[in-house]
Amino acid sequence: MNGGAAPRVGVFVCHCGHNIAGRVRIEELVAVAAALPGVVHATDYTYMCSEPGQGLLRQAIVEQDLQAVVVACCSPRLHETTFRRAADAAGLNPHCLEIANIREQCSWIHSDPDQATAKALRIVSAMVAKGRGNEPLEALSFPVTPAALVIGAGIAGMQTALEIAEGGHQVWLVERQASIGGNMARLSETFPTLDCAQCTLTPKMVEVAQHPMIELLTCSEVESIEGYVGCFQVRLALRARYVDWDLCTGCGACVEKCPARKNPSEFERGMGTRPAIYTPFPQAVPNKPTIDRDGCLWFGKRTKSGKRRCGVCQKICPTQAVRFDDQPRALELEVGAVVVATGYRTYALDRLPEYGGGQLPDVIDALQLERLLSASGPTAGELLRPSDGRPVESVAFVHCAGSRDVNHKPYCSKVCCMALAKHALLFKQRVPHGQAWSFYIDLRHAGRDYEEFLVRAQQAGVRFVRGKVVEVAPGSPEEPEEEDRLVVRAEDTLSGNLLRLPVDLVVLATAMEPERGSAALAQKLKLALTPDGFLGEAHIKLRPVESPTAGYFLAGAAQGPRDIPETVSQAAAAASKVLNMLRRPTISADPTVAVVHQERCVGCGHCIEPCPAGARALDEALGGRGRGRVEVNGALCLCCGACAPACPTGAADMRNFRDDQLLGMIDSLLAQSQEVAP
Amino acid sequence: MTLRLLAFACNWCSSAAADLAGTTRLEMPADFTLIRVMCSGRVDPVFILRALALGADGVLVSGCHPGDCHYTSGNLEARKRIDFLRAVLERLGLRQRLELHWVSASEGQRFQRVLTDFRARVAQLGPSPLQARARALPADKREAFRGLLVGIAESLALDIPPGAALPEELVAEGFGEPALDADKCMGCGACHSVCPAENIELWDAQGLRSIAHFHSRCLRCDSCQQACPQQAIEVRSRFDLGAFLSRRRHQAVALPLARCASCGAYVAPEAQISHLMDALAAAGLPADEPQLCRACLRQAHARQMRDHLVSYRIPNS
Repeated sequence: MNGGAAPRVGVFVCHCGHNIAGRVRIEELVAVAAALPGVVHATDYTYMCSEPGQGLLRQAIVEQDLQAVVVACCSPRLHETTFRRAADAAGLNPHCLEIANIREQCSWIHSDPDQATAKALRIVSAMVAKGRGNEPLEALSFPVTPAALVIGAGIAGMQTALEIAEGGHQVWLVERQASIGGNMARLSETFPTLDCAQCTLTPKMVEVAQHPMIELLTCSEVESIEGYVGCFQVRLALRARYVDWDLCTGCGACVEKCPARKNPSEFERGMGTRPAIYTPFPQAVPNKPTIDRDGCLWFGKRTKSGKRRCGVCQKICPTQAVRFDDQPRALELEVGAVVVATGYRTYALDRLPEYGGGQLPDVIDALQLERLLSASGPTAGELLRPSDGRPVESVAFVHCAGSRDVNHKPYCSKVCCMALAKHALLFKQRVPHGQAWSFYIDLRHAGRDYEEFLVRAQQAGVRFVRGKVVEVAPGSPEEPEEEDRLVVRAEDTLSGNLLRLPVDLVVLATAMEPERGSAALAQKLKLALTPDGFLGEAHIKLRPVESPTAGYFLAGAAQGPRDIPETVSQAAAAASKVLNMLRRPTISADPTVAVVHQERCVGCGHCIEPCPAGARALDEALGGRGRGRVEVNGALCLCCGACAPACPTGAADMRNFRDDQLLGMIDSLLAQSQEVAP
Repeated sequence: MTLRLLAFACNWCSSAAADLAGTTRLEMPADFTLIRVMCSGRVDPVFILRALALGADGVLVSGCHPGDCHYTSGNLEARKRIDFLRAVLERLGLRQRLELHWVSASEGQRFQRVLTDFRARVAQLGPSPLQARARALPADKREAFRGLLVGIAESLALDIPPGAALPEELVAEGFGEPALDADKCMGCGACHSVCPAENIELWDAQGLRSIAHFHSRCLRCDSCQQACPQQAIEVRSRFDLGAFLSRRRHQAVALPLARCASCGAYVAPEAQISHLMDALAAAGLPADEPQLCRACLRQAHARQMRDHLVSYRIPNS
């Protein structure tokens, strides 16, 4: 502002042809506007947005030395940018120009000229009251570190990393497991084409590993992220692997000779075993082993004479890559953007005791079945019962096991209808004389070629039964049909029949839920969570791959249940958002951000919770009594203003949407309406 | 009848809906004016009270539908604040003059209906009973809020006695009261020193240490609760309009004070001294010194020091 003196205000009234002038008496409006406090220049023109109109504005700004301008015209949505540019060209800070909307919100909705003119006056006087208080502002600018961090290397994270790397920027891809690939690597075939998951996934995994712009960090987790959009400081924790991967050639001799072979394989989801030194699966990337400390004999109990019980891998390794003294490490990075692609896990089987989950070995979940069906799985693709290894001849598939159930997860897990149809079809292909029942509440097969796929499964002889399974129990030993088998009791709600089916195997489509630790990660990164625990987006329709916190993006099932095609397209969308950000040297942001009048702040902290962007924090270094004072990170602030009313002392305020400006508008509106009421 | 109506509309949904209503030429009552804010969460109860105090007949706040907020949760913040303010206005007979609605950017017709219906309801209530009075507002938001309420109550000639608090779930963030447990409190004054609003007062008179606070000034920051070494304070959300408007302070405790064994001035509350003695005894330290005020204690120490130095004086050479 001009040294505290009242700014010189100009008012420009647009006729918009007849749109405004047809209802509002322009001359009267200009005359009253000219008499408003601070107004030194008031004029009108047929079309303010036209070049001559803008010229009028530019000329007046210069000649009348205007420090604030109100253009009374159409909605700011249409021409605020136009007029602010014109102001800028004439040397007036664009933030000192305000729009008084006298078309959409006045002349177009009031047919009585007296009323319309009176209202236009009120609107103009309110905007003059606001405009007088506007400060000249410069767009905020923040430097961007042209690199991205992608958390999670399942299909979502891999796709995002590849897209960003292809865009020419450095990507740090962090994965907690020893191999990338995520849950998709466990799948045998994928719907709706039934091509094998490995065939589509493994080339991508190799591409990720070999890409010069991707730095792959497995066995790693995010410890903390500080900073803000464009400039995050990331701290990673790298677990001890006990194998020096720089020396290891991946020959596999250690894996072959390890004597501790009976550890349940996490990758096979307990359907198979692995040695203590292992790669999660044969196609793992990187294809180098790690040691599971808990299963390893070297780390286990020593002999009576104090000797280690093993150490075979170290002795046998041709490159001396085994390092029993390996320690966890920390790594610090700087990135401009973060993509969270932490994926999903399935609802634990033992949470579903009514279906025998966790109690009966032949009740398995859909991902376990994937391993049994997989050609590279523990049974080489042969469908054998986990309890006794007998071939499976009949299967019951249970939809919505934990999904769409208020006692478990209220939401639909979305992929299971297709996944179970695929399983049933694969089973029928492997065991043509076998019997498959599929119990559903509703079948949801929306998607390209999905409905057709369901028809294929039905035609292959899969029996779809509408009704919830009541119970899965061991068969009665007295019934020859049921001996050594499971019995499924269910109601067929279409025929009204109660069913009692003896089957060899029960497959539960357990609900998808956020991956372990994703809530803790969200807390660390200050990301929004939905009530279901999935990561929340900035706007469900308009900003579906952005987190409300600037600089964070979301991809894949971390955000909610979704299938592979949807995940891949979302990953590409997130990557394009990241690329858009990283291609510029700086990020500019709206300068109408929140401010804290430090001398008024008492550190009560009530403004912190309403901030949707996590832009506010208490800082003890700022003084105050005890807890310090609140500070705003302008790079994160979304300029919504939810903080200001939360402040009990008047310390929290907004640039150019200040309390005193809004109160000034209210005062002028209510004063004005008294004078001009007909 | 011409009314004076004010509508606050968020930039992203409701203001866009108002634009759409205009584009579709939906005729609307001309006696309302709209103030565009970025988010309904920006609307401060002080704005609404100011409008009512200036004689506005009705105030409407309109935001995005829940779940649609451009900023995720600003509309829910608005709802909390408006629910609270409506409950406060209830006691002033003005509750129906404030409404909150959700109108999305595609709902031009709904915007027209919401406004027209609101106007009809306000018209039925009649013009505002308030005499418009514009007073300068203090910069302190809490004082501004209180001042506006006092002005409104005065203008309506209402005398609101304390004693009817709002249901706790309706009380907005930042309004509360420290509840002191007089049996636990030892009068140390930690709460008094930490209160950022300087709301907890402490004074010694007539052989008693008194601690008191004003209902209107508590910010519910919980500083006192955290500072209290006796866990004697629980800060609760509370809003009692009568107590909030009155300037009366609420005396929480009055504890007997011990006097200086030498000069008779107040030293500290007896409860605090016995707490200290117990702590010293528990630590195995001597706890038998006479109770002296700070000035006398300093004198006594000085005397001791002098005697000590005298006994070691170097002989004249």
